[in-house]
Amino acid sequence: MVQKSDIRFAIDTGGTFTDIVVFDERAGTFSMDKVRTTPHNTLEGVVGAITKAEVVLRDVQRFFVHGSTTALNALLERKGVRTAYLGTRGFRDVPEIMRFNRPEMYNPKYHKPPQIVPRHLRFEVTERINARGEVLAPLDEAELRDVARTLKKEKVAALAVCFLHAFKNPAHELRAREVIREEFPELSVALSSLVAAEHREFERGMTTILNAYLAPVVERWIGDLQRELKGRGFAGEIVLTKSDGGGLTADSAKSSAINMLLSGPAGGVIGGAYMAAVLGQPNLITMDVGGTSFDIAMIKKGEAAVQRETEVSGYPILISNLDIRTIGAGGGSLARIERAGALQVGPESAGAVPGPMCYGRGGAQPTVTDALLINGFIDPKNFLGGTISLDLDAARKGISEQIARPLGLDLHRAASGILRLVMSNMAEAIKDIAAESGDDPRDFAMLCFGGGGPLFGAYLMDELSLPAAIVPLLPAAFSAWGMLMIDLRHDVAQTIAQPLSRLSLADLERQFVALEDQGRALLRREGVPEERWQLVRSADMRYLGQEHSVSVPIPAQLAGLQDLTSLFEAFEQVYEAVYGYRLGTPADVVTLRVKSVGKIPAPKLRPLPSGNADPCNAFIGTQVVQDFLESESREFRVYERTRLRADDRVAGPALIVEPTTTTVVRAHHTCTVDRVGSLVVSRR
Amino acid sequence: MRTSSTLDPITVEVIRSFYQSTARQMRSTLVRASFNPVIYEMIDFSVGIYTRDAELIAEGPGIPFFMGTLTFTIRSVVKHLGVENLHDGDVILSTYSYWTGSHPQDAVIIRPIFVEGRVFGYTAVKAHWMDLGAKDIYGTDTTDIWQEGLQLHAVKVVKRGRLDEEIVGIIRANSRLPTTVIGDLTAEISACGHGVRRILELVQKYGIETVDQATASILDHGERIAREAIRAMPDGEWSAESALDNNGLTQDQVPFRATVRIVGDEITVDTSGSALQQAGPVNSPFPSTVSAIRLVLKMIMAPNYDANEGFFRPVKVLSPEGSVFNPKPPAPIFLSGWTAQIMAESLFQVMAKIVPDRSVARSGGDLGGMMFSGVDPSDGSFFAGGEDECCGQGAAIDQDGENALILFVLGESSNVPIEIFEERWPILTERYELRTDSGGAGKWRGGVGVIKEWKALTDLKLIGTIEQTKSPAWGVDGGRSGMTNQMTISVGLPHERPMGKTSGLVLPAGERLLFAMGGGGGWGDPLDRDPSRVLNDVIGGYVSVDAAQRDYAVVIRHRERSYSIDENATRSLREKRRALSQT
Repeated sequence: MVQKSDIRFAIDTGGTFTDIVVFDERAGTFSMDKVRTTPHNTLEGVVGAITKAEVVLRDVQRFFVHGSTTALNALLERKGVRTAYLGTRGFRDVPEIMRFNRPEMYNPKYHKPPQIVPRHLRFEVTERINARGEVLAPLDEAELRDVARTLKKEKVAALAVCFLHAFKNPAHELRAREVIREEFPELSVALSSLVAAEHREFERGMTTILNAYLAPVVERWIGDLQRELKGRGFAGEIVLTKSDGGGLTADSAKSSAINMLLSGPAGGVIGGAYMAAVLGQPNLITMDVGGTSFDIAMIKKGEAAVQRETEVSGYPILISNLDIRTIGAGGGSLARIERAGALQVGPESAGAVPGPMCYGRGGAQPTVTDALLINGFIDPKNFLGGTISLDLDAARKGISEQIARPLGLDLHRAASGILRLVMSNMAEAIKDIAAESGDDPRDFAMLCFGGGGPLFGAYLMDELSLPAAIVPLLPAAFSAWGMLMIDLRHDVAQTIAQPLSRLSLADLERQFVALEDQGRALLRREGVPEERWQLVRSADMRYLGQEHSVSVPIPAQLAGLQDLTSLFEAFEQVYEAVYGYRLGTPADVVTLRVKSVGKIPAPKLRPLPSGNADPCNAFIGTQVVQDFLESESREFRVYERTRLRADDRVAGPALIVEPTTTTVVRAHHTCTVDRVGSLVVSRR
Repeated sequence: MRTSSTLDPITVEVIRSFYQSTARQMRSTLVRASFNPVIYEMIDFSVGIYTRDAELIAEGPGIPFFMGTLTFTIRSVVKHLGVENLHDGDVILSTYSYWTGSHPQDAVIIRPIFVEGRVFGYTAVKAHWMDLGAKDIYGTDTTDIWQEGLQLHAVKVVKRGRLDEEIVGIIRANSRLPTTVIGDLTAEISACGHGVRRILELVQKYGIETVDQATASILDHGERIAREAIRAMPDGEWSAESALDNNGLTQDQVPFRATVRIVGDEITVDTSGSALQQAGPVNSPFPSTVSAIRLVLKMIMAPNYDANEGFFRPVKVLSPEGSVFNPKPPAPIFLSGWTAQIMAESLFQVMAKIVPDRSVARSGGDLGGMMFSGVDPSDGSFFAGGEDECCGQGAAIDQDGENALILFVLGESSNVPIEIFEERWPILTERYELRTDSGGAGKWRGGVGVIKEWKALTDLKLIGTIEQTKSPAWGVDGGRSGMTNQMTISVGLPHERPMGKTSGLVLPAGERLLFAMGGGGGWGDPLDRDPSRVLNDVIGGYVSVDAAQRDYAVVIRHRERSYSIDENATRSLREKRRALSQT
């Protein structure tokens, strides 16, 4: 008899495939399946995956899923609801003026991203609060009622309210919502002081607009999901992934659409943080090579870096999100010779349709996958477990005509060139992200996943002088796997923007306690038992006069401190760690933050039986491969991953194959299998 | 053209992307560590990597206007010091306008890259410091360079890796905002240092010969793209005229003329016929003139490529010595940027004839620059700040001009959010909105500018650089002009008055300042604009009902919030206007 608590599963809806990973707690095993994503209604893919994996829903305790694809598609296809904007009198054009900069600085015809709220649906009301949070002009409720009636006539479905300095004093926004609801109760209203309580009116207002625009869509999707699963006997808990790597239960997720927008790639990073502990590698770079993109994130001291702002389609968004960088480099990246004769790879991609030339589905331009095929990294008869058969001749023809001939190279050199170039673009992206945070990539091992990650890991390890490239279990569905490790999480923040010297410990303590109360209330609402709560304080600080701040850990009790100098010292320590020097000049406290976590016990990984170091049981043959950094091809030994045992050592040159990907072990590398089955590639 | 290397094209591309990422990283080092909003928000800086001959290899995104100026600075500085007197670990500071191409506050830091005991190349940064030894934090009425700031030709601020505290002391003593300025100096030195470390890694990995060959190929590639673009343009000669409102001292306009000559795959821009050098600070040192011209040509020839010296090999700039575009020291230059930019923008008018699909009508033409200083009433401290404003952009052959966008020369420069502005300075902003009817009419409408009004909460000393209050943005091919820029002080009071370029004006606490930024020029005959577009403009309030009729001959009826086109009235009005224009 299967216990209800025995199963949990996660679903990752990607651009091409919807992946499902199921964890059976009693057996201690993970299993995965893939179905095609159904872009018109992602719910179909979700249900399809559950059916294919034969999950018995009534036995499931928890189901992890992200609403990212739904929210992003609604934004990209402009299928959010009819949304209006309400600002302080004199400021309704802030969303259109934006920050007035030109992201494409050499383009004389540059245009901003299109307005989500057209100008005739942007309204103003008399009210004003100053930078200290004091009311200069009271909210004019009569005007507001007029606006509300107009909104009704205009058949608006959602309203974003953003008043100047509302993050410091939300009274006018809160009152405005009450008044509007009296006139127009069906209207969905988003307040900037609740969506993103941080300074900068354009960014906060835009975040509020996007939340208002998308929330009804996401809410509907979650409602449909709940109904669909309930109808199939599911009685467990649904956990939605947020962009910051935390989770939300389904009901609290409904009003928080904006926090789910970028949660798609979060699973891989959460899995990375989990693996950092399992591997004893607190510093990890996670890399995910998919069909179109290369996603990277840094995990330091076991924690994934979180940033507080990001951008989607040119719109800034002030939400906590995992600092994941993406460049257009993946299996589908197109190779071409540009007009002045230089070889370029990406950022454009052939996508799933038409796909690489070797798919034989009409792809007319060579891709990275075509080059991998030519160089022998991919077995044409066994791609994606044999589900797609590849046309080697089409790949050869494409690269030879379009790349090799114009450059005067032979076929293999041209294919190697494509791979070198895409790998070097990946390497530069990693150097960029490390330089921005002041880190040396050599202090990090790399966790490689996605269908293409294990193919490039060994090269990036060499290129960046990293100590190891590690391939986890189920690399091709690792993002879904990682989602199983999520905890519930609510971040609350308050911008104060004041010099440290003007603050008192008692005052700071009071403000942190207020934030912690908010965090506890949110966790309580989610039904997390108190013993699994974790509240962590931090403050964004900077030297007076700077704009960019650093995040400083703050003790759980400020009462025990003598005075503010220990906070200043803590700030300077962090600053020095990032920038390499201290200035000793006065500091500012910008924002106080409390991270409130409700722990969900993570699945335990089952140890793999130990082998005798010799992988001969897994040996299945040889393959001629052109290592793209070498001049001559070599014979690579081929091993089957599922037959490797813990402590097995595979000496390069070798390929370790599994149905959805291949791990490359270069000639001067050794790959060892760790106790939970991860492949650890390092230089001999 | 130099012989291209025989190096394989893939290695070249790998090295190119290494250079680009290094330049980007230098930029992020500077931005993160800098202390002043002019650097981290207004992006008023330039970072780059240069060859041993001071040719630009790669540039981090900064202010486009500075593109490539550091070539001149490095050459002058190295000539002055003698290359044999440069040592590993030296860092050189220059604030001399005739070498840097801008006012002394745009301090240039140069660090030679030494490989095997010889100079391999340079990393360099130019960034705007808040205050450096001038009679004021900004200047519109200076009469020589010594009034404009501390003149340092080429000073080693770091000698063989050791920071020279005496020189730092001189800088500190010459600034009203010493902490900020020293912070920015440190940030610039860090950025150059980061670049040098990365380039050394590159050379170590590939060897000096390969890197040299690749570098030559990268520049040759830029040159090929530029020559190809120029070859596709017809041969010929075209001129455009423009003018500054005044030279900061007198009220007369200062006329400019730019002539473009294309022969085969080479292009010459000649500024002969422009005014002689001026007594006021509007002279543009030659590096600044060249830089602005290069920028416009780059935007036309290769908007999608990263800039390098190769692009500029087929471009020649001629400016007679002693003219406003190639003045002789010690003529004042504080506002050189405006001079160069206004002339350079007129090149879009020429390009609209040569390559109409790549060019645009003129923008509002200015950035409404305003610097202010005063004493903070809350703690008695001195403060100084500033902001730029956006304007409407010119329409193009196939699209309306963008509304409210910064001038092309400033690129990624952003506004200071009102909330941060008010946290920082005792000024209260009362409105910030689009300026109805400011865009030039046309088949494609010019973008609208903005209106901003703020109130001083304490006495403020103002320095305003407003320009183009007399020269509206020109349209193309029958498109009309946009509204000009206007700045007004003591708004709503009996002594309300317009303000031009001004230094040292006092705005008393409680009084208001109004910026009205210009719109872009239109493209094509306004009578050819699709009436439904005019209707949408009216619904959005970009164009008023009156202007729709006056400028576009589109008659709009409305009741409250409901607008519609009166088709019959519009048809007959348009017919009448067309008939009128043919007679």
